[in-house]
Amino acid sequence: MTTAPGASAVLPAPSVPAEPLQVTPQGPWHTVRRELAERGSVVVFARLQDWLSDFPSDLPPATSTATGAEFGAGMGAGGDSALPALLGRDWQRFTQMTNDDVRGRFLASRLLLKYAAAAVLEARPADIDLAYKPGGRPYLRGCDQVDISLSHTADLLVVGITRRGWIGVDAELSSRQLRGSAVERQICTPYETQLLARTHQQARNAALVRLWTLKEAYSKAIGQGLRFRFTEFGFAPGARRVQVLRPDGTPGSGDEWSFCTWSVAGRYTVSLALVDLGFDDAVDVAARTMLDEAMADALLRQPQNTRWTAQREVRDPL
Amino acid sequence: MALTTLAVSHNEAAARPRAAHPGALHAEAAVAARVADLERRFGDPWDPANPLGHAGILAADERGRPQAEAEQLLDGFDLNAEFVPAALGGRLVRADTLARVLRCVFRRDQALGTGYGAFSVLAGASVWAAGSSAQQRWAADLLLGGGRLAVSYRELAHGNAFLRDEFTLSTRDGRRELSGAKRVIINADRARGLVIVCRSSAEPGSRSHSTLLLDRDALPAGKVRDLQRYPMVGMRGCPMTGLEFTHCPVPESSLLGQQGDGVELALRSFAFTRSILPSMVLGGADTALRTALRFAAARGVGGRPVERNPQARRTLAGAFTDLLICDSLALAGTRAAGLGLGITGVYAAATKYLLPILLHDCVHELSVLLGSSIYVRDGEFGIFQKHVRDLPVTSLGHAGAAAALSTISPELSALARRSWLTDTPGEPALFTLRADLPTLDFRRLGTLAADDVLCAELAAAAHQDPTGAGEHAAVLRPLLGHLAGELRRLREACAALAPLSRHSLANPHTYALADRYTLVLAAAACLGVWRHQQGGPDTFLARPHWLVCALLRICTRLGIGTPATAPGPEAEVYTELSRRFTHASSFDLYDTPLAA
Repeated sequence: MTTAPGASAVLPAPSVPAEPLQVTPQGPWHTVRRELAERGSVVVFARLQDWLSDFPSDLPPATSTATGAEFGAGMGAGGDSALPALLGRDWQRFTQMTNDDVRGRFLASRLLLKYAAAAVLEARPADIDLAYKPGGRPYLRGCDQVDISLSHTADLLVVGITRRGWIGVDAELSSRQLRGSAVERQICTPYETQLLARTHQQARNAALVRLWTLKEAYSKAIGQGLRFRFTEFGFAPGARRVQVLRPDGTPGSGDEWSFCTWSVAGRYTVSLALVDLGFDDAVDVAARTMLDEAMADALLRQPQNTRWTAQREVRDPL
Repeated sequence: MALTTLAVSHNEAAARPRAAHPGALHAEAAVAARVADLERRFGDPWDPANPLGHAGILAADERGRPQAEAEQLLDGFDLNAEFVPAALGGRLVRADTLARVLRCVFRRDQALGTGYGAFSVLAGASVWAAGSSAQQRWAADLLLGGGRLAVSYRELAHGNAFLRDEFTLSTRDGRRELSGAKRVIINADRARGLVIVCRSSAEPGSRSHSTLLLDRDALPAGKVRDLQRYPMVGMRGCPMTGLEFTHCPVPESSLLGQQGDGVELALRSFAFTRSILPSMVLGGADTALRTALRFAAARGVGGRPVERNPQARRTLAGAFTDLLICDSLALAGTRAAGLGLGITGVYAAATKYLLPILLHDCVHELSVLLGSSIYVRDGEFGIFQKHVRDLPVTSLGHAGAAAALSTISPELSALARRSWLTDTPGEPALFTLRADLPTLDFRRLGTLAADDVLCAELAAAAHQDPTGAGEHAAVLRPLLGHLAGELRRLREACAALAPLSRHSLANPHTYALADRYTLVLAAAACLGVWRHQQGGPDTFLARPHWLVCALLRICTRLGIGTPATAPGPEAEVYTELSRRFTHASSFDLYDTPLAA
């Protein structure tokens, strides 16, 4: 047997996305698409107010009886009746929220997710079905060419998008005091505690915030959020290569995982976790090219599909 | 076909029929006996001294090679005979029973199941569906003699390493020749029989591909070469290399069916392969759940024994429920193939689409119980991470999902208009898991989606007085209402799709509708299984607890009706899971006794 060269027999090193990119409803979506195509993943961030200005923040008070039509009409000249259609199944949840801050953050984050997803799938935001796994993880129903993850804190929203596997993002205020708190004991493995003890006092809180965001990002990527206990896995604060370690510091997950941490807008720490299963997925993630041409044509040509107008009278037995 | 090009120098045993007569192969007792035989041969997987146990499997995975002892065991069992239709001397009569036998292998090692056998099954489907009698005889003799078939599909939309690029068939100097390269083909470097879907016309559309059956040994040396191994995170013990043809002459007689039949033949064989492979893969999730139970029993969860940790029990019961949901849909898909239903291709595509999603979520939920032990690659719990890594591979990732949705989406409009919420009668034989079926006829495999007998189950159940569900009738009734409401919304949305235009279908709105439809089908399959086991020997399946849990989980995924935390009768489901764990039987519909 001859064996041709062509590809290395080791897994290719996963590529890491560029610095998070700030977006408003106006974009720059072409840059987001380009980053996703070139690097396989992209992280965007946004300011809450940029995403609420098109949809006024003085939203009508929540009423349990509000329907989409009523809400749209109630918005008056400053409103936008497209909102119920845009939010889809999240609309009902939104109308039932009573706290204005919660409502505002919920609305802005769903809009950001839908606009970002629509931009990369080259589709209309209202056509995106934003759904939730049983544990609450958001995903794009029927469009698994990209995986998404959402995080928000204070007035920052962060969305990660990948076409290479699974993604998790998390953002925290860099100034959040974790050092010496109960949280410190709850999130650190013995190995991390040992390494942190060697860290200079001033740097220690920053290291803890980074650890926290890495742990959140990782557990979001595996779909478990806070259910996967943070003392069951860890990282090596200060190490050059970030990888998941077992509580005693021995290697945990494999090379298919990659991690990144950035400082965003001068006051936030944002981390990313990414797993690439190695399918070498297509660069093209557009929704319009996803339907296989030959298969769809063969099926659409079939008699029962070409004679659909001759349907029999249906009655609804339910 | 010129026999000179396809002669197999098989031994005497190869041509020997493996069963006295096909009828005997149908019987429940015969299938159960074969499964028991295979289990006995494999022995206790948890015994560190068993070379065929988890320790040996993990070592083979570490080496990135097929496990020789395990392949010899399967040779001894004559597993290949399961892949050959009974009419050609093998033991293949039904899709559901084939999946059941192979599930034993996948429960041990998904890479072994895939590398030893499953891809011979997938390749064989095209031969049994469209091959001449000489081609069928050759492929049957090859498999019965211990040989392998490999299959290479054409380039599909959003194709990845498995489904990108394609071979081209052209004519030069009056001779047909094959050119091109394909990066990943399972068993490419060790299969003598190659089923190759190739482009035979530059025109767009569905008549531009053809399928060939080639004898690797008869191809001229230098015109075909193997490409290096493709590295994957999972299934490291499964041979994944590629092939390159350079102006390689192929015999005129190698065409399967007619030139241009490639796409239609693939759709026909998919009606079988797309339900059968995920059904086998379910065995891997069985072992992941069993390992989680074993871990919980030995170490507790969150510092507490599992008996005093209701959240851990809910997670375990939920995972078991997910496996039952998956098996219900796979059962309907594989039995639809045997019944020759027109809608088989749609059910198979739904199975291929939904099972990888449910199984992925299921094993990741279980990972919470194992905590840091999910990283362990050896010892008692090391097999968990291997099954988690292996599970996504056979789904082929997004390209696999896109291909399944490409089969479902074009049918939605016609199904909605013609078949949903009508008085279409149901098909009880889809759900009677231990009952005989007609012998599988690959030439009749359905791609013409006619009556949707699964959705008919929903209508039938809504009519039925659910008092059979006892105290759970009060939960079941509104759940059925939510699901009927979902089907009504789907009908409205799908009937509005422009039915004849691929371009107008190709958007996230359609794909989301197709996704929701597969969940409704899964709910209908669970209902069917429950309804049609009443009074039968499978008493757990006849009771309502698992059904209520299953429908609650499906409704949560659909985002309808129930809060995500709605409690179901999980205690009863956990009790059954615990019984099966203690008595070593399978976590699927069949409750099959296992070696350990």
